[in-house]
Amino acid sequence: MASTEELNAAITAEEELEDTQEGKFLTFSLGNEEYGIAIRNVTEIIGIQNVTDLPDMPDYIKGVINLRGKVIPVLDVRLRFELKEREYDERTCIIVVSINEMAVGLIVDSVSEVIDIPAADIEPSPKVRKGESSRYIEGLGKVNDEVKILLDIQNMLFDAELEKIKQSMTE
Amino acid sequence: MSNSVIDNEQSEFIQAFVEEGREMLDEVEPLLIELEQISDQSSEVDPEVINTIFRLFHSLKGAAGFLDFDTVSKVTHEAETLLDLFRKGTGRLESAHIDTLTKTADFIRNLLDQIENEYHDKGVENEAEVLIGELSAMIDKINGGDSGGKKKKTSKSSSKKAAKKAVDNENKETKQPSVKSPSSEPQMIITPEMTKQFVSESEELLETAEQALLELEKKPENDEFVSRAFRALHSFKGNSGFFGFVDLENVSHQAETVLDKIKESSEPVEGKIFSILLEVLDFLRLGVLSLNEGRDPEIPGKAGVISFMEEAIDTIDDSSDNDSVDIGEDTVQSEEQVDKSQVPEVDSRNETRNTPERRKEEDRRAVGDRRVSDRRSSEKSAQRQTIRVDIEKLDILLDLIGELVISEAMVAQNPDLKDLDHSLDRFEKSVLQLNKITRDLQDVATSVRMIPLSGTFRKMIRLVRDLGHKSGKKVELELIGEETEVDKTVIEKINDPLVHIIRNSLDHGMETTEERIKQNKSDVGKVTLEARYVGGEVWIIINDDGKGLNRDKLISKAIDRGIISGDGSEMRDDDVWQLIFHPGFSTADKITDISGRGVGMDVVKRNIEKIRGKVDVKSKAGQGTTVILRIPLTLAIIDGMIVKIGNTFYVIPIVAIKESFKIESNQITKMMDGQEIVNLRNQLIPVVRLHELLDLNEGSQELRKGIIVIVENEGETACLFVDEVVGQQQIVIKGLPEYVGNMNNVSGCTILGDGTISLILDVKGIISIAADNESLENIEDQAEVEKIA
Repeated sequence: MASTEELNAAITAEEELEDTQEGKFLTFSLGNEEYGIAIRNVTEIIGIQNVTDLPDMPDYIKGVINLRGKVIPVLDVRLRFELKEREYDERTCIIVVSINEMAVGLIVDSVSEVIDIPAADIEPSPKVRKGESSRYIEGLGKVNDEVKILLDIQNMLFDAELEKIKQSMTE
Repeated sequence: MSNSVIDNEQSEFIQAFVEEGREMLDEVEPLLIELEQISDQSSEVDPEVINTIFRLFHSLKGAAGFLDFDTVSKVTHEAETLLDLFRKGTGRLESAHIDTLTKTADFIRNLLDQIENEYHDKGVENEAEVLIGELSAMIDKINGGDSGGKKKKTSKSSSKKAAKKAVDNENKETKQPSVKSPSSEPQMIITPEMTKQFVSESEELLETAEQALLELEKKPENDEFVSRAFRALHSFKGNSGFFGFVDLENVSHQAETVLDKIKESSEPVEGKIFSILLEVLDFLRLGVLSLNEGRDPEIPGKAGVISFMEEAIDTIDDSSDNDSVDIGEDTVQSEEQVDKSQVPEVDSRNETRNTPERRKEEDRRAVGDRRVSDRRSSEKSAQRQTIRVDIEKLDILLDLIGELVISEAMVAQNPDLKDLDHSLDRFEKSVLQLNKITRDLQDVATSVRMIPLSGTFRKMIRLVRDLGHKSGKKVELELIGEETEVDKTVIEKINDPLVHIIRNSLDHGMETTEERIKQNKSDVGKVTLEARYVGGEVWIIINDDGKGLNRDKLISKAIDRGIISGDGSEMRDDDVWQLIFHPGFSTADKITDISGRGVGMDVVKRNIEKIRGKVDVKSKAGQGTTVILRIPLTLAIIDGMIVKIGNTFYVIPIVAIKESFKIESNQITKMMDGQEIVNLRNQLIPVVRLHELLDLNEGSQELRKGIIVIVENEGETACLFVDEVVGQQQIVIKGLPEYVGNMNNVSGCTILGDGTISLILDVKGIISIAADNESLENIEDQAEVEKIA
């Protein structure tokens, strides 16, 4: 497992080589499972920090943090997937992702590494269950014997559900 | 330069043309209307106004012609010709003329839009023909019907011709004055302001030309730079000609010709020519500068300058002809080349030709040149009073100052300081000093972004005129305080609201002429647009002397729409007027409704609120309506009170706070639904428990332990219950992340000294929630009371 600094260095390096970003994922863990998000969405990884609460927000939106003078919202990925809440500890990290030029922080149990998963090794998620969560899954990546759940950040952040909440709030 | 292939640079060039064109039209329109008003009232038309319009059309024509926008150039040419007749006093300006000229301006504006998108001005020839026909008919009529005997067919044209002739024979030192004396030109009154403007404009144009030439020297094959220099010089020539500065006009004309040759020439131009042209620019500058000292803009050694350029033209001609020249002449060519290249050695004062006239010129030139060099260092710097800055840089500057304010707070309130056990007196003094400087810096940066409202205000002149014409009402617009400056963002946001308000005033507020006469009012309605500073705000006041708002109609409509309950008879006037901003008011029967002023007024309010402004309305039946837009001067930084609720810090804008105090239990009344009311000096104010509103579980629940902060917005008050008042501080407003969208109760956030984020409470929203709760609960209360009974 790599340290945050090493991972950040890896992310920066990847950014410099735009075209090599395809097929690269940052993996992190929630409970016993490993998840992955496409590295092109990731800006940096920071430790957990003081989060300011926002009123009237869904549970999983924990609030806002001050990232070098920028105010960015943070989501608890556990709560987003309706997993059990867990106390933050020194391993807890915030992955800063950037989608549609918006920066959002994702709170995860811990970050693991940057890995290559060739497209051939990615399978669509089997539609066995009615499960809500499959909408947030881009595919399942097979790395050696393990399976990494690759997330669709776009859906995860801008889901219809959230839109609904926003709408009801502005009404 | 052909239009078929548009490369990047050319398109940039065209964009610049479109932009400039629009600016010119923006300037022309109000002037035309001003002219119309003058021509309505008396026969004496202000020559200065016509001159300005003429000049603007002329510049537009020049630029369009250069870019091969034939339609624009033809139309403007016709308009220019017409204006010239008024300028010379040959024709009398009538409102029909103004109409056509306004139409012309509109036409060109549309064309500019087209040019911006499609890079050509084709396809509207028919329309253009009609306009040109109209214009030329007017011109013919004036020229034909000259018998009307405009005595002022002045000596201008003849004197100009004379001057020209003199210039043509320039080689003999002419005694002709280089400026036509204003006395021989009754129509041309050149005010000191105009001269001043001429000087600063000219400086800019010459600078542009110089830059372009320098670039061109680096990349001689690039046509773009020739064009730029040409355009700048052409405008300069036009201006000079207009002011009758013959020397400047002639020299720049010659320079223009050189550039034209360069453009046509297939060969890249040699460096010598640039030296000459740059030198010429210096001479022009010298001439312009002498204006500043109240002297005529003579160019010493003008003949020499011109003849140098003539030779330069020959050089270019030769080189471009090269292709067709017989190889046998090669030797002659190169010989000539050598000769020529020596001639333009302007820098070294040893001219190779020794004709007597040249000698004479040389002497004068030496004098002139010395002037150029020593003047440029001292005077040029004094000259420049304004600079153009990219607005993005200013935004960045303001952002940085925002960061600075935060950092300053971080230093001043650094938690580490608490751990120090010795006195911090000196530190605090320094912090105070730092604070003062940051505030000053912030003030300066804010003021830099301020621009006068005049542009926005002047656009309304056109609006009022058009609306008046359309509705057949006679309306006059008065502008007061248009020099008042506001932040650039405000200018952007304020245009639409102003249009809305004025349109409403004219459509609904203003009576028809007949009605006005019946009511013993002046038949000309009056709309006043005024701007002034009041406290920390800018007030933009739109006043009309129309019939005013109709209280009864507003109330009955509000009841119809379910906006208010009850019969509204108890409502204060101010509250009734505020009804026009209710979104419900503007939805229905927009066009037919005459009584209401609801057209888009909610949009007005929302737009103004976006820049943290307020809208007040005052009205008196039969006397008119006044709408006041109150806009804060600074947009990004406010004074805030930091309060603690639970473990979280919130900011309440100081402007909203009336007072704060510890409460006594006998001041609190708890209603059966739990809503608490505070009795403050006989005023009953609802309590808002922020803990509940913001869904915070921590903190004190007992009113007596916390602090009550009374906030006010638009006359409504509420008691905010907080745990602790921490202190007052300058707050840099930051928007909430787009991701979370707009929130109730919170208008934005800020970063505090220790780096934590604090939310800024939306006082207006909170008060309206409190009010809603109250009324809702009142109804519930009544229901309960009824049940019990």
